[in-house]
Amino acid sequence: MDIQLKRGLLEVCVLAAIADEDSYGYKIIKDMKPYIELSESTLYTILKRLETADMLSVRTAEHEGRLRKYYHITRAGRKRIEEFKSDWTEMLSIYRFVTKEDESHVKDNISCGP
Amino acid sequence: MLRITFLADLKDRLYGMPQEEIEERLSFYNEMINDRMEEGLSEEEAIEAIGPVDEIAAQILSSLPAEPAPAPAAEPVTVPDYAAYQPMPGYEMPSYEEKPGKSVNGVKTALLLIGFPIWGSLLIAAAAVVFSLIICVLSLVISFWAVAVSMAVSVIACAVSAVCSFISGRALLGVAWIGAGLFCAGLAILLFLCGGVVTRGLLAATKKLAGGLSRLFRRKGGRS
Repeated sequence: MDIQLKRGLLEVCVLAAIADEDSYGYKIIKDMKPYIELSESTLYTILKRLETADMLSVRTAEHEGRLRKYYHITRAGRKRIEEFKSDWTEMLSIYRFVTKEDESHVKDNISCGP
Repeated sequence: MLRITFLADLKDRLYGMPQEEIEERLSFYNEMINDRMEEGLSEEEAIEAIGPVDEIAAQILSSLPAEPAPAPAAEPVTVPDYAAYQPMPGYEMPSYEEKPGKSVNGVKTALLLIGFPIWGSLLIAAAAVVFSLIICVLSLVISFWAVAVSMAVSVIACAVSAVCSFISGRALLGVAWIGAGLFCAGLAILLFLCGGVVTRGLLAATKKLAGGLSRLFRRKGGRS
């Protein structure tokens, strides 16, 4: 997959992982695992980039006698998810065009017709 | 592999990156190890799940902005306080101190001294540009407020002139002065209202510029 595209998708995935509630690094990886494998170093880079872009904020809280970083989605982060959702329709349409799915549907319809 | 060995190996392989960034990354991996151990994995299993140090270091270095990749340290250059890397309860990142007297530092110092006429003059020129920019912004702010104040003073002058005109029997001129005064008053109110926004905007822009420059220098300093 194109690196830029993948990077953008992963960023949205991480934002989605913290959209419902604040989360921490390992939980984000675990939550994403059924859908996509993410290494720690990749996650770190994405989190840093999202933090720099003000799409998430970080707070440190005590947990079981140690400190743990929690990530919180910001308004800009939610906006990014919404943008992704609206872009997706267009991307699907492009995908259909590239794979000529529409064309084959038309052909099927014609062949199935009276 | 034990946590202290893993973190020490990773630190050695990230040699050349800014100290702050290395510590932040080590802290991140330390947290990952703790979270895995909390799920019931042993220390070794948790580290194994994260992956081999070489692979992680390679991933980290390749994700950095295009800069010459730092050479892996041939010999350990620091002696971190690994005692701080105790399991969960003692979670605290140690502060690593560079060993003084490294030969690399000597060469760097010599190069810096030799190159001073070049980088020194450039630095002075850059500082002069930044300083003049700040002065320009400040003068803009001051001139804005000066116009606002002058408009307010004009209101008083117009009022006095209007009174004088009426006393001397020139009513038409008096009315004209009142009109001019009202115009100046309107302008003054508008300028005072906008003054805060303009000042804040310009000062924020200056602060951003200064912040950007200092970040630039800090990064360069950290990676050198």
